[in-house]
Amino acid sequence: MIQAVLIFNNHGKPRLSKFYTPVTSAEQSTLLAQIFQLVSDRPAGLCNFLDAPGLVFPGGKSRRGVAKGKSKSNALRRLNEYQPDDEEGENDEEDELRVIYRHYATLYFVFVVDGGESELGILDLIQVFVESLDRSFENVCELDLIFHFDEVILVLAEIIQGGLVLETNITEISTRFHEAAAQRKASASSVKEILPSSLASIAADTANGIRRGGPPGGGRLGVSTGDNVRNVAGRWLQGLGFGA
Amino acid sequence: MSFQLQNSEVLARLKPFGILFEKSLTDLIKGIRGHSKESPESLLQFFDTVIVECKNELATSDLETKAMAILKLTYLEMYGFDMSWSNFQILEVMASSKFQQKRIGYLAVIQSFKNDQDLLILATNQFKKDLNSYNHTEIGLALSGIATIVTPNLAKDINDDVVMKLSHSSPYIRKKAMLAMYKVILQYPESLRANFQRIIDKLDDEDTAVVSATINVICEISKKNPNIFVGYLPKFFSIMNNTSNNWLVIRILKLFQSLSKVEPRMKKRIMPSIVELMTKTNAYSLIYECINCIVSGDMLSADSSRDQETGKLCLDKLLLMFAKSDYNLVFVGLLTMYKILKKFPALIDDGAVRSFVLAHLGGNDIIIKEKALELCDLLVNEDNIGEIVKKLLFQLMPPESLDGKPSPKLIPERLRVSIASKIVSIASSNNYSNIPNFKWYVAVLKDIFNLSLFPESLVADNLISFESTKTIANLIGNEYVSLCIKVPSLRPTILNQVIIDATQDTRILEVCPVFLKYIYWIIGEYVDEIEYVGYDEEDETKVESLGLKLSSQVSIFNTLVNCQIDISLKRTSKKHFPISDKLRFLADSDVLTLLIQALVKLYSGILNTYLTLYGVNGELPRDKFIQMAYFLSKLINFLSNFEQHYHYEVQERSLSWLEFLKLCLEAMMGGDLAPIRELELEDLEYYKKLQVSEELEQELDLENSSDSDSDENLISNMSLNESVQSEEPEVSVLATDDLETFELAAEGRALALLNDLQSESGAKPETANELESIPMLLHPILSSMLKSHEIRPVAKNSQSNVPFPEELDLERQIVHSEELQGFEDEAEDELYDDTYIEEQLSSEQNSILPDSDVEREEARRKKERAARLQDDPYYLKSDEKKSKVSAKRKPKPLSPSPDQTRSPLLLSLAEIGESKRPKSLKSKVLKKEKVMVLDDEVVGNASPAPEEPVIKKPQKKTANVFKIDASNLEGFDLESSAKETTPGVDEYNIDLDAIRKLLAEDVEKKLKKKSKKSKSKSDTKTDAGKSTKSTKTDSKAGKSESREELVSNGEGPGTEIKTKKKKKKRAVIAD
Repeated sequence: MIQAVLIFNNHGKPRLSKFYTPVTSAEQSTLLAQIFQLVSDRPAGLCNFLDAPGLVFPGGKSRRGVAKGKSKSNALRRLNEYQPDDEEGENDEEDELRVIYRHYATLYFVFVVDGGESELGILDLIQVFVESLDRSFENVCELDLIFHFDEVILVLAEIIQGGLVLETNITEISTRFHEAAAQRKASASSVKEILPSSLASIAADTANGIRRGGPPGGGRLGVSTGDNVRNVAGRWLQGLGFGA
Repeated sequence: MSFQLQNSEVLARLKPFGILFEKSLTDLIKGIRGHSKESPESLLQFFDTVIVECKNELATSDLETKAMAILKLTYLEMYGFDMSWSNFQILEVMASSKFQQKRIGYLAVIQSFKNDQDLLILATNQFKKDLNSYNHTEIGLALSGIATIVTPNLAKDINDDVVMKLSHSSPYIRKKAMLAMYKVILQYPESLRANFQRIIDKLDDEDTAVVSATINVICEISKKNPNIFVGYLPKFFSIMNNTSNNWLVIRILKLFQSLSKVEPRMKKRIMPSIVELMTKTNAYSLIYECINCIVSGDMLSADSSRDQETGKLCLDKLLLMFAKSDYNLVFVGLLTMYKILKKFPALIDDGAVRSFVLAHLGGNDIIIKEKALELCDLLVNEDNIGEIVKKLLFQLMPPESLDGKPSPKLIPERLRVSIASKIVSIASSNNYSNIPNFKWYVAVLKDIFNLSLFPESLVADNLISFESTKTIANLIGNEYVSLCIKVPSLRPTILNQVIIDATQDTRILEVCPVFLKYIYWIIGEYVDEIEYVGYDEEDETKVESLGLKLSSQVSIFNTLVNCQIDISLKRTSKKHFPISDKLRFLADSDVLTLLIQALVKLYSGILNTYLTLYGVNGELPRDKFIQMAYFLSKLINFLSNFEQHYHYEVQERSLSWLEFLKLCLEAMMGGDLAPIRELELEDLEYYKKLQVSEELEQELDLENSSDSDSDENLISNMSLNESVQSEEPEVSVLATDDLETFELAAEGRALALLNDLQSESGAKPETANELESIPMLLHPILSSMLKSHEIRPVAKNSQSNVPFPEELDLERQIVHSEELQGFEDEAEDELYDDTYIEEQLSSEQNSILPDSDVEREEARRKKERAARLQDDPYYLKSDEKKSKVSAKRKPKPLSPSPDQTRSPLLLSLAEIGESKRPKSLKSKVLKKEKVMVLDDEVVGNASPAPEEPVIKKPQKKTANVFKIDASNLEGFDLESSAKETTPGVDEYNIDLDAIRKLLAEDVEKKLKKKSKKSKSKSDTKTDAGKSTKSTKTDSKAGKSESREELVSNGEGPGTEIKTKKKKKKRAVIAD
């Protein structure tokens, strides 16, 4: 199962955080910081998998309290907690959490998964996610993700539902997304019907202006994604049928 | 009502103008960006105002405004702001008829709802309504929502609606419904029972995505309980063979992995296909999953040669993958390689594997390094251990950047710990059988310690956490201890090369006082084994080596004990004995408890050396005698620091030893402390001088070399003086903490001692020194108490295997009550006689009586006492005792102490002293490179714990620490899967049994009886299984039991239901 999907930029600013297990806000921020710490340390070109023993990923049980942020206290707590159950060794391996990430231009895409997922498969899935975003936003860049975080979540919802992979076909994903977007627009324009048409167009213009006129920078993801990733992924992706 | 409507309408109409007052999400985000550039405070302030605004917006009745506020809050939630207070408004927005708003509502629900029971009840209706909407997108939205926030109650209520969607016309809805089903089942296991067939049917859906989703769900459930779906193996198998979708194939492979745990026979059918798939496909991810399925699914058995071939094939494939030099492939490859090699150690001989692993061990990716590290112990043998350990040690050194300076980036703490523990575990495996040369190993340990705890490059004290320091210190410390115990010939080496330095090293005290625990223990235990090898050929040098031994002992002693000198000199900085001073205030009471014990042993060791060096028939010349007394008084002084220690154990130990030692001192000096004072004053004088000379040196700003020169002069001067004066201030000279001076001092010291000896032998004892006899309390009682049993390694579980002595009859009354009365008084007298009074008397009288008389007297008394004790119930007769002890543990008197047979009391005293240490039975000796390694001793023929040397324990702990979060997430799922197992076991194992039955040749007959039995069994089991774990193991046990029945009787359990299901099963098998 996929436990969490995170997007953050090179400075650790969250762009998307989606947890598929109940995690309180405070824990979410802690985890985000921890994972960023893990991931940002790594130079490019190394492997994209990380064992994440330091992560305090709370399960449903309340006995795992809020992580205190400092790894020292975590370590201490874990030590204390884990002394009694030595025999868990076998299960451990199966349910070991793994952080799988990819780094595109300014953004890190991070998936936290358990042992039931195929590592290489998830790596492909990140690729699917990014390409879907690319199609949905037409050359996606960090700013798109910032200003349309809700839509990013919707794209993600077409790929993963409740921690399980829903769809891996990019065409299907973007079709669904555009379908929903169309409906949304339709319902949004019904609001505008109430307004005098001239005002509505002004409002729309302003909205557009705001949208287009966002601060520059943030680097186009699309280009680098496309080439860079396709090359990297292509090497061992061959035969994985997400394109077809 | 009408007013409200109007109101909202007005607001809506005013909206275009109100845009100035309501902030959109875009404004919010821009605001955050702007303010975060300014300062964190302004950002926080901004957040506060925004949240207040949102609150106000939520209070309006305009849905559009509310939706926007909710959207903003959802965004803020990502920054860690709680939005649970807005749950009701979220519901409101969710209920909007406008898709745009509904979408925002669902978004907020998905992101923020955290099992809020009250609200979920309200939400249930909304879910139901949306599920039955005509709009596919809305249904999809609702299904996503359910999949995220489902709770047991919601699951129960919503179950039927979700199930209906499984047969929706749109595949999009069907697959979403299927995934939502999984979450429903987790919360409401009954649903699986009721809708089992519908789920299975979805495996035949015409849309691949739906099939994929179904497999996905089955895979997740099977991970928790593989028994449920094991009957549909053939179905899965055919799906795998017929699809070209690699995602789906990978999923099914994962599923097989879980299923093969409960159905080992499936591998015969499946493995060939997987191998075929593996060789055919080009996708590396698929190749890897094939290998992983074979290996992790436990489909290879170690003793089948065909399986070994498959293993070899997998390994070759892996190596092929590695050739791509993609780190991701290397990572997963190493994971599986470990499993293959563990199963078929023979495959390691492939040179490619070894060189590959070693190459990645030295690579620059830390994660890969860690994985390669795990593989290390599989690669090691006696020939290459040196190379591999060297490689590992290199990893502890900070990587050098191009300009040759150590790069500022240090090796991560975690890696340091795991490398350290890996080296130790490699070396200590199989009772150190891989170690070619133990001196090398000691050096390695020393390197690990220094490299990992005292990296040279940086002021790294803060860079490694206290916990890791402790782990490493414990690891290395334990290793030294176990080496000392197990490899007797190594003790002098360890003492000389490690321990002596370690006691003088203030850094250890600052960084990892835990380490001292082991150091002190070793000092205490093996103080007599400090040896200077290479000296003991000739007689003369033997004396010299003894002198060196004594000087090291004394210098250790002084380092630890001499804090009083600094106090008297009122030195606050640049102390002569910083360690001793710090020890007084050491927080770690574990170390102190050991230190107290060790100091007493150390003193006893010094005394022994004195006796061998200067002693004549157990007596010492007057000056030496006084020196011993002086040492004793120093020890007493030091220990009295702990009289009031807050830790009860420290206090207790120091107090009881103090009592004993004070008695000894009294016995030695009899209240006349003047000679000790004298020595003390001389000592003080000396250090004052040293101080002055140091200050002088500082003023003159002398070079180091001349510094030590002057030191040497000083020392030799002193020792010359000493031989004239027959006093001994230079003993303390040795104790400077500077290693350099220490060595010089040791030399000077040895010289002095030689001089001493010569002068003594020349002039004979009578001239200057009359002999003084050491009080019996100190010798032999103290030393025999501490030394009469050697410590041996004992296997972990031996204690429980100690056989109950046959002749021990606890029922039999040994003494009748009337006899008892008479003995009591006598026994009391006896106590005094034995320990205190007698020693007092003898120590005083003995000095008057000639030796032979003493002995005779002794013998006579012994005999007398033996006679008296004949019937004493409190004493075991010596022969009786022997037999009993031998029945228990056959102690082998290695160092026969002079008083072994002297009195039973002594023996028992010694035993009390030793009782907390492991005892020995028979030592099996393992010859290896001229070094004897003692095996763990095993009591009886019961097998001990599988080769777990003492060191193993801390390692295991570290391993645990690093694995920790592996199962963290388990809780949520498992808990529910426990519930799910309950129906699963009693209903669905029938499917499994049906299959088994078909596989087995002859069925029929007697079925009813058997099946009933097994059914009732599984029933009770499910009842009992409340917690996840127990349910799991129970069901497993139940399975294996029923399997056994199958095998032995060749029949499968069947029930009434069986006949019903049988047909279906046959059909399944057929395809």
